[in-house]
Amino acid sequence: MKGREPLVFVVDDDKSVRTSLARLLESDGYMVESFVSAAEYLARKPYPGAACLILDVLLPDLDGLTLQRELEEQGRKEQIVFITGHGDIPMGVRAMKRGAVDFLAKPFLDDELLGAVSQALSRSAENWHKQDEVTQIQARVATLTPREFQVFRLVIAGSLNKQIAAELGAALRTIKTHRGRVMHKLGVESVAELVRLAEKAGIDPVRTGT
Amino acid sequence: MLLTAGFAHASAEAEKSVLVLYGERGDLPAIEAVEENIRKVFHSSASPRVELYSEYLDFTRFSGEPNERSTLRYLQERYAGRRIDLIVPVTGSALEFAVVHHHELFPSAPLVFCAVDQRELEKLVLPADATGIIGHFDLERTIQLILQLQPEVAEIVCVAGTASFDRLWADETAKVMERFRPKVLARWIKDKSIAETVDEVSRVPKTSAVLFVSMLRDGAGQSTSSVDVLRDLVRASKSPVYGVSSQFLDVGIVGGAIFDFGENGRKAAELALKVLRGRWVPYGSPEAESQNPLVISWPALRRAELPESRVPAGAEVWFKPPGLWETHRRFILIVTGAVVLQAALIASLLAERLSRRRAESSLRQSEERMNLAADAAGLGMELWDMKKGEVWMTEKGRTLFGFERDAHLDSATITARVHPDDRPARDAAIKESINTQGEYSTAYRVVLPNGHLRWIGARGRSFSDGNGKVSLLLGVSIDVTRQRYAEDRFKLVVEASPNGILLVNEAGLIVLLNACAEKLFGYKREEILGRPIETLLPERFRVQHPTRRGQFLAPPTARSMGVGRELFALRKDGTEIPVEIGISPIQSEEGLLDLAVIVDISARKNAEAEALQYREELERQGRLEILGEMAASLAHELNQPLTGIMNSASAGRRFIARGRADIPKLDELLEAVVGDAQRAGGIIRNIREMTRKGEGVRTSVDLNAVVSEVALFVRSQALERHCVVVTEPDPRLALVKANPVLLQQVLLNIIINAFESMEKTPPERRRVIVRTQREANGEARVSVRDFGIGLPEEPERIFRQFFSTKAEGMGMGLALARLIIASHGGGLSASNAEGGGSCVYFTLPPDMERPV
Repeated sequence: MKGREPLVFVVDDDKSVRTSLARLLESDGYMVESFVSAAEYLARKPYPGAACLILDVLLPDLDGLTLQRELEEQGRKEQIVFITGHGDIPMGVRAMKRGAVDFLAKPFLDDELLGAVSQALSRSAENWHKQDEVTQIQARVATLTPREFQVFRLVIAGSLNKQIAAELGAALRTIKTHRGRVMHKLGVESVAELVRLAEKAGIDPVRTGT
Repeated sequence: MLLTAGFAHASAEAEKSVLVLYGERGDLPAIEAVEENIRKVFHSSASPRVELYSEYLDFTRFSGEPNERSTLRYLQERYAGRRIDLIVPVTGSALEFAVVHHHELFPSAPLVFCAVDQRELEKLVLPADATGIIGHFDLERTIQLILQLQPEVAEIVCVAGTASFDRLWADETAKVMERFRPKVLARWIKDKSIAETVDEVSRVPKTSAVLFVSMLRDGAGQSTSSVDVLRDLVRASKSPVYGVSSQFLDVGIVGGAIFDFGENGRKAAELALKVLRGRWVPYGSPEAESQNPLVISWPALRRAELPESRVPAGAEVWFKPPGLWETHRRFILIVTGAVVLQAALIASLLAERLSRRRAESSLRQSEERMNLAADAAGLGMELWDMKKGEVWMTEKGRTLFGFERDAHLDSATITARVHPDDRPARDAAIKESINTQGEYSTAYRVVLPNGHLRWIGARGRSFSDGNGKVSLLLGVSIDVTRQRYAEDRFKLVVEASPNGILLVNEAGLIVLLNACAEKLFGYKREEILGRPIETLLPERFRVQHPTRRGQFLAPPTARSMGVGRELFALRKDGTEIPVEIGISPIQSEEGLLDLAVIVDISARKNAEAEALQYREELERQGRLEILGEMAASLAHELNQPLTGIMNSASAGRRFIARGRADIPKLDELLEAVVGDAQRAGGIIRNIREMTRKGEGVRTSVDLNAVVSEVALFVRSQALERHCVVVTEPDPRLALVKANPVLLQQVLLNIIINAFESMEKTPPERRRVIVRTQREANGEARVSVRDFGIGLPEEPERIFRQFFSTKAEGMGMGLALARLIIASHGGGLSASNAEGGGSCVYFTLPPDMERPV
């Protein structure tokens, strides 16, 4: 998250909706950027901080749901609040299932919108936080030697030192040394912590005998 | 007679165009036979030369109203700008089509139908300029023939298909078979596929008989040709197969009372030529009648092992190898001719001997001339020798009265043959002739030895000897049974007609009326006969009517009164009923008569009023539906400014709450609120305008403006459905006189339909192109083209009420749209577009007061 300001994006082709939304958000202290179309928004560089996207379902080029899928595929971290002039329930359900924060029918109350925006921003921040954590872990994992990495994956699978030694064709003592170094380099004190860390970083365990 | 005046002019032209409408497909052998003969007859006509057009309408496979409309449109378009002088509908379905659409399709061309059955004819109200050749399947005589050939037969297996023509004749056959119960029973094979039919027929025992009726479509829905099916049946059947059409003889039926399609076609074409040459022959007259001969196929008879001795007298035997008669026919004819000549010579000598003694030479000459003429005309002749009481009668005369060739004849023997009821009139006529030494003319019935009655028309004159005393009576007789029956039939038909029929003479007096007319006017026959026709007219029409009738009688043409204006008839009880009257002048022995057919249209008037009410209701419903479609758009349109208002106002309040409010910022927000509120107000004004009951107001409208307004209006719907609306306005477009709100509704409806038709189209292809165009004739054309699923198989269906491809649609949109465009003097149609999708378009006439 790197200490950046949260930012709110508005995409709506109706000028009065767009500008009035910006005013409302500014009145609550947010920084706002507005766009007329999905294409215009996609052309903007992805914002590397917590972001909320207020998105009209009906847009002249891409519709909101398609844009949502597109952003998801890109692994973007802005959270979406949909607004619609139709209050189409099935469409809302689809949007929510795909992870939208809210689906608001125009006209909506300021509190409804601002509540959704703040929720979206905190989710986005959380996403960034998780992302940062993973980045840190991955940096630490990168310091392991190949042999240590092998041992690491066998340990998190729950293998005993004896089994690991047999598996790798090494002396029991050597394995113990590797294991101690892995724990140290990754900054953990127990096998339980090691397993959690591996999970966060998406590292798969390897069982002996395979 | 009635129509000759009209045709006389036409016949001056050397070339005529005849359109033959076949109700069936062209590859049926029966139709081929008709077609071939029609072609031959017209081809051989030098004056007029005939340009022949043929259309095969195939109503068996293309039945129903929409097909009929499309067929009509096809014919209208194809023959637009061509003159058609005469239409020949072949088969009942074609005739029905021609009669129903006569006024839309060559209204001035008379109809000469062919191969139409009496029963089919009775269902139709033929226009005055329709005639033709009646043809029918004679099932009764065919079944009699079966019974003569197979006296022991107990069961007749009847085979028929499922086309409407097949059903008509199956029903008819069933009725006729009923009359032969319980001597012989009918078993039916129908609603079966060809294979099943053949299989069942193959299991019919040899002692039964198979009667093939017709099969244009089998039970499996397959179109067939009767001849093809019959060929298989004959091959498979152990028992003799019978049928009623000449085409069937070629594929091996034993026989039947055979209807010859080809012959029927030839007669119809000959009749058509007479009409084209200016001679009108009504149908049902002897000239236009067709008889079905009993025909036996000799090889089939042999194959069925039926003895030739059972073939009834009068039946024609076909395909028989030549026998004595055929080989020596010429010789036998010559010998017979010589014998006949001799007999004639003897007869004339006898006649001469009878007359020589008393008659003057001039009489003898005239008598001889008469004799010759009588023979040629098929008349019977008799000479009465008053003194001797002897009568000499020609061979033909004896046949007419049913006398043996050599029976002795005198006054008493002849009178004995005359029906007792008719004797006084006959005697009186003859006595009168003797008294005045003049001519007589009478008609009477003869009771033949076999008990049958024959109507005889007789004319004659008496001649005196030198002393002024009548000595000789010369009479001619002719068989008028047929005419008499025709008259009876005419009377029956008139009497049984569901319409009122009146006959009015030149003096304007009623000389005949039928039962329906009695009921219609509430008079008994005896109360009204001989009274002036004005009695039946309301007071307000009476003054002018005699003059109008005079005008009417002047040019003897058929026409109808009351078309386009209201006519009323006055009943005996003083009430009035709305009527329609058709009048045909008829030349008769009593002078020129008017035949008036009067139809009580009160029921129709009521129905029309109901229909109008119904249509108004539909229009109202349709408007509601369009409103419903608009509501979705409107909701979206209104929500936008409302959102703006709420956002701006909330923003203002928050700035104030946080103490960050400054006047310019608040002013900006309030300005935005006012702007959005104005925008919402505008939208609401629009709705009010669209729904206001101001449809009567028509102004000069620029369709390009209407198009762009509607395109703007459907924007949100287009977005929602991922459609792009492209407008292509023609700057040269004429203004039209119209109600802009209604046109908006029409266009809106069409465009929304276009959206809906593209639900399955890939989003990148979902385009609606709305184009305006100035037509060559100055009309304004608007077309809406989409890239959707295209039109259904019968495009006209989409304009019908309650047709909808949408699950929730009421199906009133396009029907209503068409009504609206029609009420503006334009037309609305649809077609499939090249490259997929459909195109709905309408044209409107330009506003003449505001030329561009």
